[in-house]
Amino acid sequence: MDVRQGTLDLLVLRTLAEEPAHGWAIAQRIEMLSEDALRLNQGSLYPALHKLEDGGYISGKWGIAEDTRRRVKVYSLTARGRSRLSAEEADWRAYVQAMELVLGGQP
Amino acid sequence: MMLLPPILRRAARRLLRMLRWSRADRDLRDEVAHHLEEAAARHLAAGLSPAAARRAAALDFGGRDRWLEETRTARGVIWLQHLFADGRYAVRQMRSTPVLTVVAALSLAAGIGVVVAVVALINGAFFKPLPVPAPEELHRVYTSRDVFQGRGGEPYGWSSYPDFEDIRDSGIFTAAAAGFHVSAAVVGPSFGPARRTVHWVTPDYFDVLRLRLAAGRPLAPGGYEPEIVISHRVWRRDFQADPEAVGRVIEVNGVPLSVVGVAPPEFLGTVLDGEIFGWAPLLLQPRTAIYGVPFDDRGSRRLEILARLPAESSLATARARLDALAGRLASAHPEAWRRRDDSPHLLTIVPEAAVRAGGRPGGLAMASALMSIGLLLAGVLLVACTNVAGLLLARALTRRHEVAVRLTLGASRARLTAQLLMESLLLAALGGASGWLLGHWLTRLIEARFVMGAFDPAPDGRVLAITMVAALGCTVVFGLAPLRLALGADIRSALQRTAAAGRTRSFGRGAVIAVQVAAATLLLVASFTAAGGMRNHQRMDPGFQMSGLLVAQLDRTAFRSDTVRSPAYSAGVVELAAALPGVVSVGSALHMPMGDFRAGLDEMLQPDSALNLAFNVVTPGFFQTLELRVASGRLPRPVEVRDSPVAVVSRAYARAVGGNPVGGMLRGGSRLGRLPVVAVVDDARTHLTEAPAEPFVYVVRGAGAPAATRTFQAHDNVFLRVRPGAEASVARALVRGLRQRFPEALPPRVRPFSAVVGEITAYQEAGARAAVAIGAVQLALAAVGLYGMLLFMAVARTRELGIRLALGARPRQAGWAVAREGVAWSVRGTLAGALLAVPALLVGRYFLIGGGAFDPINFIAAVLTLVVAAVAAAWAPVRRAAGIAPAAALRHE
Repeated sequence: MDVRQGTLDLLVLRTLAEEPAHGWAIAQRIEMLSEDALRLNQGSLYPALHKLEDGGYISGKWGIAEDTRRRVKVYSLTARGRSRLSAEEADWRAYVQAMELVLGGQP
Repeated sequence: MMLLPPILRRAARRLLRMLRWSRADRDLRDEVAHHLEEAAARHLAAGLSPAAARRAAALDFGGRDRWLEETRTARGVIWLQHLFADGRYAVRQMRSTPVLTVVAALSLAAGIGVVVAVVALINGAFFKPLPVPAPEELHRVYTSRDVFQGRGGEPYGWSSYPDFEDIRDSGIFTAAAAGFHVSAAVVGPSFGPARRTVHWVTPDYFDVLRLRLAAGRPLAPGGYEPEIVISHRVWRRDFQADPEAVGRVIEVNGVPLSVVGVAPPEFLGTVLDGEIFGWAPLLLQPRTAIYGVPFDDRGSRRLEILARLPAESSLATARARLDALAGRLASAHPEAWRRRDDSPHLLTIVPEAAVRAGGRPGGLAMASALMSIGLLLAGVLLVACTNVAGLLLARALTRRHEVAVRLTLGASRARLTAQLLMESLLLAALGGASGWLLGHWLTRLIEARFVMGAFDPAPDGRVLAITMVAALGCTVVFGLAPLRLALGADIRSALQRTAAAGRTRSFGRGAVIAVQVAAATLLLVASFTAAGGMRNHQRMDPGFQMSGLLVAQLDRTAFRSDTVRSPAYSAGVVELAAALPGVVSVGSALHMPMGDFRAGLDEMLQPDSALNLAFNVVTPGFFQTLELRVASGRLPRPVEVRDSPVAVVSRAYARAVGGNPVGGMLRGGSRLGRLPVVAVVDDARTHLTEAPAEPFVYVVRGAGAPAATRTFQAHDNVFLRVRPGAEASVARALVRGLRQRFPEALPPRVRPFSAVVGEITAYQEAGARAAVAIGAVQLALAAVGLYGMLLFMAVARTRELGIRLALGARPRQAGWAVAREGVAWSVRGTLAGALLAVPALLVGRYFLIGGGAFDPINFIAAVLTLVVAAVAAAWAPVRRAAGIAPAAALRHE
């Protein structure tokens, strides 16, 4: 199942709420957490990351990866991002609940 | 950064990133490369070959370049890349049409250049604050002027020394200084006796200004030391920037003064009157000048007061306290503080900056002058801008097809707008920068010729800001019309290349051309008339014989108030001149005919009526020398006026008072007493214009009469009537004789009177030259406007003309089709301009030298010049229309 449009931001924010990570790790973690149910179009991650950074929801810092000793950009959630995450999470749950009510009525 | 609100912080971050966009782009590529490496590594671990692993990773990622581009767009960096691309594109576009670009940029540069120069001069003269600490605390204090000649006294008169002391010690101000400036005979290190302006000031002057000198010290506190602080320019030029200048001795009006300080380079003085040589103690003044300021005379008002108001006290409070002080002074010194209409004098305080900006007498005149200069500038700029708009319009038309194709292919209007605006901006930058340079050059030129160190007109940040706003506003606003034409195009018609025939007949554009041509016609007629007037004035009848008339301008400054040597010098010159071979008669006069006759009038004469009097003080020989005819009465013999002066009046005076004034008495001021009127003479011309002769009074006195010489100013004009052909030899002999007999005097200038008239008219001549220059610029602008308009039409109608040519029309007809509308509007403009010129000249003859004669030749010359310019402007567009190849035109976009 592909990631639905408009939900990528929420997924990124949720992933970063656990711990800071670089782009590749974020993609891996989304697929892992969804038990490989969600398949990410990996390239689309980067416009989303940069837009979130631009909006001040996450901040990116260049550092050195421990395993590969390579220069990587590590993103972490900002306070602003944290409040957006909780708002969007609540929205999403309400949405899912409503969808469930509608679909649950079917025979 | 932390203190900023989030929205600003984000904007700042974005801006920072945009500025570092190339680095940011490298980082982005790095980030994605890392991702791909990690993905490939995972595939490799799953057993794929290295090449297959890389392929699989790329596949997972999706189109790499697309995502990079989307990321850049998400970050706003793309704008900057587009900006660079647009810039490159705009430069290419401009290079493909060099003539159009250069003409548009030059047109803009001319407009901007004039704006820069005039704004810089106005700014330098009136709005630049004095280069001293806290200039806003500085104020000027005036004692109201007396009511005189029926005119109400004005509040901005000078003050006397005792009044200054009372004002200084009143406690209203932290410090106050007084001074007045006057030209003096200065002997410096690199020049002999020369006239320089010295500002005589009280010793607190530099304290009031809080000025730190470039070298040396300010004037000593006592104010009696023979010393001087020189200006930086003088130090650089006349002292060759000698580091040992402080301590050297110069001579001012024969008194040695030692240089104690050098003013800082940016300080040019507090008076707007030519270059100030230096600042010397006011109290020293009686010893060094002819006009002694009588320090104990409360009624003798000659000082300008500069005072520093404490920062915390308001102008209103100061005003109230000065009113109270004026009241006290009026009751304590009723004689000096009562005006002629018996009202008391008043004290007025004005901020220094406001005095510069015209808060003084003539403030209204200044404001209206500034207003008309502003309107004129707006007009010049408007013309330049409409020209640029016309040219851009022609270019936009050639690109309608291209724009339509790009719109069809999906280019956004925003991107195309940005691209077209970029071209306008580039043009603004080009025109603005060259205009700035041109303005600088014009400012330097004007400074060297007219300002001469009185103030610093160098353009500052304020002028730069005005220039940038003008250049940007001009191009952006006028770049919008072409933009609408290019973008608002109906895509289908543009793609089908149907000529926008309806759009080519624009009333607005035609009217702009007509207005420009009208202005050019008016200015050309005016400049031809002014130039003609300049030629005429030599032939003009001045009311007296000009040829064979020499004048020696004497300067008695070097004798100061020496009551023996000074009059002896004047009398000696007359005696020497009369004895020279070739001299027929000799007479001297205080004022140069056609010069300024009113200086000192209020001290000399108190006419009973409110006549607008002009006057001169002459010796009996004056009338014979200038060959002024006597109408009635009898001219006095020298012996008759040796002890007491008499009056001779002009015919205009006799007409004004009615009846024969001979035998009556004229009431002179306190210095002259009553003057018997002994004769009426013909009117001499008092001005170089055609204004009617004014009532004129000649005070006739003996040469070098002691009482008179002390009273009158330091100059004498000795006139010599010589035999034809003897001018040069007499002049040489007189100079030689005077140098032997009076070696200490400033050398006199002996010249034909016509040369003096030329000097008096120098300003008017400069004005006439300026009129010619403005006319030429306006002509060029009108020609450029016409060129742009015709080019636009030639381009717009290429296809239509191509069809007509294919159907058998002749090239000449095609050319005429383009030229017709331009010619029609130009003719209307010329007629309007010529009609406007008639009333303008009728008014102008009172101001123009040589009378500004109403001469049809000037009209014909102006129209002919315009025709030549119009033909030159129309040449290229009409050739283009006539040279259209039908086959090419039908393919033309």
